[in-house]
Amino acid sequence: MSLFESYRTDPFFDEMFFENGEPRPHYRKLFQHLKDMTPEEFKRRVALADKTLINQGITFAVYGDGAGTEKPFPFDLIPRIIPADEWDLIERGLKQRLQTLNLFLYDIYHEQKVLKDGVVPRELVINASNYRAEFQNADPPGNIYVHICGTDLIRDADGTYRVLEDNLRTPSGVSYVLENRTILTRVMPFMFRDLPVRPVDNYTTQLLSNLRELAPASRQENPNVVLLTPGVYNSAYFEHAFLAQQLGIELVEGRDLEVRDNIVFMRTTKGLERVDVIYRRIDDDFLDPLVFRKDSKLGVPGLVHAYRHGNVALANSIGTGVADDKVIYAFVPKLIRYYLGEDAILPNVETYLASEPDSLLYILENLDKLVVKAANESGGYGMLMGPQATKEERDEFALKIKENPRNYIAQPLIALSRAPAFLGECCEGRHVDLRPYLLTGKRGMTLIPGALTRVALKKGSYVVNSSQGGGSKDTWVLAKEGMSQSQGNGSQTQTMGSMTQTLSSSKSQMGSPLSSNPAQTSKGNE
Amino acid sequence: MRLRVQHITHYAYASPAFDSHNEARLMPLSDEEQTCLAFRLTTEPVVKIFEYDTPVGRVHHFNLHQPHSILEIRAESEVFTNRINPFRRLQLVTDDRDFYRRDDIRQRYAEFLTSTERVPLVPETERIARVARNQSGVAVASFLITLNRLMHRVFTYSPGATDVNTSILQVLEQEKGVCQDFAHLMLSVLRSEGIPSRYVSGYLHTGHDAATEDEPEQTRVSNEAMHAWVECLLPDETWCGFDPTNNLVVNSHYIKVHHGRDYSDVTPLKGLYRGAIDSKMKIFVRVTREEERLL
Repeated sequence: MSLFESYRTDPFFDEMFFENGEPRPHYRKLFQHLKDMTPEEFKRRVALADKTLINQGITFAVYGDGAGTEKPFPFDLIPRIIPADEWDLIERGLKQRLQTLNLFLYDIYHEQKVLKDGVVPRELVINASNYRAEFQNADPPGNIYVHICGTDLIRDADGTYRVLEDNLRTPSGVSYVLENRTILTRVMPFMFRDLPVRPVDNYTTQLLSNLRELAPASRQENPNVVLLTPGVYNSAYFEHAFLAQQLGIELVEGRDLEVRDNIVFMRTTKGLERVDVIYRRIDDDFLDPLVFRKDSKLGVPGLVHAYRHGNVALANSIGTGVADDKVIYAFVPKLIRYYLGEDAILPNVETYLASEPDSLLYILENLDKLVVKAANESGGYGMLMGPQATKEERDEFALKIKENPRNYIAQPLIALSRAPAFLGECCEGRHVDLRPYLLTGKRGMTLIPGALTRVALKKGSYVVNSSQGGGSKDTWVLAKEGMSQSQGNGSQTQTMGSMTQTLSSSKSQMGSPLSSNPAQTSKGNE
Repeated sequence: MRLRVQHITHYAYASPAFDSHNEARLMPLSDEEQTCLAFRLTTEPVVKIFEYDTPVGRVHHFNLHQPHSILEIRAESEVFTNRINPFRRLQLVTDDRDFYRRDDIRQRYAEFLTSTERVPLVPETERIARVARNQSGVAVASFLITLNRLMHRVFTYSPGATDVNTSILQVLEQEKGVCQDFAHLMLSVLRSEGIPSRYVSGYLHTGHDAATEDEPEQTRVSNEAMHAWVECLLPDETWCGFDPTNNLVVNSHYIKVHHGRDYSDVTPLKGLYRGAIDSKMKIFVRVTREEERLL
């Protein structure tokens, strides 16, 4: 028996196979590599990968799941492959979109021309829960608001790539992109044979160089960059620790920092040390209790003032959430036209705004066909999958929508494309999405040639979020013909060595939670 | 009118406080109706004071890391107010409420029509709105004056009856509060009626005269702290201040410091510190009228 013997594509767009069962051209080599493999052999590889995941503590936390919330993130070993021409389209589309959103953010926090011109109803921006009036008229370095963006793309029944969601606040998941590649090169090295898979490991180098460039002019020589985490209880803490180690920067919590006369300092065993750039993985609300939520114990009092005065840089900037609001999402194609005079390269998914009376009526009448989402929730929370919901669930949701229409949007259920996933004995098609990571620096935008492919492992499920039972795949972006950029196994082994070391030290840190005093925490990272 | 304001806030800590971070919105703003001629912010212990400007006004901030057992913040300002007789602007005869139904108006002033944490739009305020509607004429100004009077009549000014976080629902129930409560409640009624309106912090001159040191008029409320009132958008797209605590339309005795959606946007002084659990705050506010001089 082989892995793909009983594989069915119907009735969805399949990433790997044509409807007639033939592998698509960019998957042919992989198919050759895998077609004669027995499920037993594949299972041995899975076991090896699982062991690596557990040993390295690659986990995430699920909120609202009671005790023992840390779970390993399921990793499916069959890679998702994207050919060069498709990637080129994605790259141009994402850059166009992020350039627009950065211009939009600068505009709404300054002159608000876009609102005066009526391109977006002013009310939708000004009264959005993630609009930060406190940050009006402040100038982030280089006028960049979003330095790290993780946009969710999907492919519909025709295979058209569409933007599902912009993530402009603190997008997570990139650690899995890097880790999945490392593990896959180790347990399935033969799969890479003869395929020009573009490497992803320059992500951290690029990110670090972008972050350093954000430092105040007087501190460009040797800027001190830190990663600010909410702490061990955050669902993405593993990633925070991982990235800090990969970037070679300090992992700090709010209590490790203090602001004196608009300068941010880090408490260390050698005294106070100035901080120039903060890669923050804390939401706006918790960033600075003096300006935002005053009950926040995670943030740093005075940080927003220091930022306003240009003495420290934040990535991402403050108030970016207003632009990844699911309501504003519906206006992005219009914004691209407004700011760049271009048509959107990557289309949106058709979206109905409950704030518009006609659409509200349509939404309420078609709840059984639509996916309804709360404007400001992420991670698959606050969402109704109409076709799969019970009547009670739909009625309950209808009430919520009527109560606060501004907070809801609806979209038709998209038949997400599927890709083969190994499920114990053989491969079956499972729905996937795609989250590429785009960086904006003072010198331009860089798209990492790889992405997080999330896969809904539950049969029939469309929800790929890790918090809702999703897993991930390694994503291979192929180089253009003639370019030899293939993934070298040698260099990977080397990376692997340092990674193991890295992770074991981050683990020991996770083992010493809140009781340690701030100076010790800082030292533990050195 | 030339007015001088002295506003002292004094914190005494039971045990030393440290790592103190503070933000102040204490400087009177300058607009068509008043000019801030001078402003001075000082503290004890002495610290370096920083500032930045927002679209509304200037914000000052400072921090103090050394342990300290007191913190005193002194804001002194001199303001020239020049409000034209507000009643000259109020059109009381014809129905002009269509203005508030215009989409462009509702968009342009969206932040002043919305419900906030301190100004929830709740059905409980409908009772007040209905009475005010029944007692007023067709013009919006007539409604505003009536509502202002109604607020003053129904609710009792009672220092200590509420604190800074009392909800308007509780104020509605106990029918008592301070100027902040009067303002928040009136904003809730106004916004439910679709009239853009904003919270104003400032000072009210109640009769002190620099030359004679007269006692303030006891009938007007403002001393002991800053005052608060509301501003409503009129159909000519200008703002007019109403003081429900005193049933007055805002005149040249009022000094405006800041405005916003509610108190949270204009908080005169906010701070965080480590150390002391207990602190005692004393506030001293004095507004005196200066002799008019040729500028």
